[in-house]
Amino acid sequence: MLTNNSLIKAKYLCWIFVLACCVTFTFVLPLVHFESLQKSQQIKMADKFNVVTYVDELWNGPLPKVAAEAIDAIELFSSLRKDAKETEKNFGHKFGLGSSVYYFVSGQGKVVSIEDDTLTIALENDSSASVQIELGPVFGNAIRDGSGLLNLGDFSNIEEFNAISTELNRRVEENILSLLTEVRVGSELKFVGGVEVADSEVPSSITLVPVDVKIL
Amino acid sequence: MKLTKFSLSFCSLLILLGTTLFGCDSKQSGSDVKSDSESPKRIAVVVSTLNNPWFVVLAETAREHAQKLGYQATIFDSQNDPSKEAEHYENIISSGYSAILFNPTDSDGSIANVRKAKAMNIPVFAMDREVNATDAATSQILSDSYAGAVAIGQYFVKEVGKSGKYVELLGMVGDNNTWNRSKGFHSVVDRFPDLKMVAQQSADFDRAKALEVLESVLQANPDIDAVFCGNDSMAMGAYQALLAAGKADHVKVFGFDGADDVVRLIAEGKITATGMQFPKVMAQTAAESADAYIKGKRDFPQKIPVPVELVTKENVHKFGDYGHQAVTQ
Repeated sequence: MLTNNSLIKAKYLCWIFVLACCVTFTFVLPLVHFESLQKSQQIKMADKFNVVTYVDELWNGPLPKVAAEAIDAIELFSSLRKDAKETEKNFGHKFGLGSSVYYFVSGQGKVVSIEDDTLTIALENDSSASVQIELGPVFGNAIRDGSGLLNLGDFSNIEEFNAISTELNRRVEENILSLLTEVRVGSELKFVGGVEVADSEVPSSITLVPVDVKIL
Repeated sequence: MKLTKFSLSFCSLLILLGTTLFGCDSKQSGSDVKSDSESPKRIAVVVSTLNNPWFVVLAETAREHAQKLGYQATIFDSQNDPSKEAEHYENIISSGYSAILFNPTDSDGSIANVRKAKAMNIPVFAMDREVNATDAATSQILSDSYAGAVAIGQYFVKEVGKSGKYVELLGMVGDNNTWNRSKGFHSVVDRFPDLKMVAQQSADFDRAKALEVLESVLQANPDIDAVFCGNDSMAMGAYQALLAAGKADHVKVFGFDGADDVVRLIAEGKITATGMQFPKVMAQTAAESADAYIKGKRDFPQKIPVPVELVTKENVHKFGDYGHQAVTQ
């Protein structure tokens, strides 16, 4: 027969048991996890996207291959005149649901004017078409999107994706446009780079952001 | 008696612990929820705010398109408040919605809400803004404010010139888009040191506030050449202020959004440019994706960008009410 004392003891033992279970469970599966701010920031910094390294690898790795396979500028103009949709399908890249089409284009021609920081190149064998290179600050996504190498879904957010364009453009300003300081009207130039063409347009001139240029 | 009371308390505590730790077994597949054969499945449209006409277009287009596809659709207004958004998600998850078309309030803070829905097999399709996770939403249909503002910045320099004075009217300072647009614009314009920003103030994306702010700025800076506004509502307010001051003919106004009234004023040569976001395209794409998911499709691109397009007097004929002309026909 259970005495009062036994009942009280049993009651306390039960409570101790419940408490022990709670403590054990909370220890194994904590509801709240504390981490020092410094450690948290260190983890974030380590994970942070390094755009300079990324673009360095892109610039020296797959991008030259894309440049080597770029469509010739004269062929691009001719193909656009024939069938812009087919040209887009065969050679172009679109960014998501945007209407602009991006290409990687190569070619050769004579510099016919240098005005307002814009260099105009007339193409050999196509007097109706020209390529322009802007000599001032470089903006836009012609190289990133013209290369067809990158997919927004592979990045955490659109900021990283835009940072790639900024870094690519910086490299063009620093490494490529500086090669054009000696160019004069009449110079022969070889070029390759990214181009943006507005949807359904058959332009008479395209603006190229170069990844390589050579004065012949 | 005491023992009975104790037993009851102990059992209650165990039950409480059990439900807290393991939850009720309410894991229902959102898309498998059997609807009564007479009532269509439901899609929730969760929008950051309805206090801005652009988001009203986004939300209403999403709802209308979902209805056109045969669903019941309800708009939930988060009022720019992440905690309100979380409440909506709790409500949506427990109410058996089949999909969520989602415009987040916070790109980091909203991740947890999306994951909760995902855990309950309710697909989430983000619209306009992204969440900073690639394993939460089923697909994200995004607008790129930064790149759009870069394009506006380039046109700004072309139209205003490489020297001059301008004012910037910012949107709500707590809104990511405010800073994405400002950064994109400045990434271009700041490269031209003779283009001087004489004032930068927030007008909260609001037309009336923009009018008030610019009127005040013009008193200290009467000889500006241009105004860049973080959205079209503010561009309209800025234009009104310039009209009242007799300066609308020579101060250029630039906006962002692609609102119908601004597009019309661009065609009339009164406002210089804006960036067309495509709320209708984003909303329709999200609704169609949700429909495809409910019907069994599972392979969706994680991110579908919808680039912002520059609208100027040269190409304004291609644009209409929040999109390309074809969209509005």
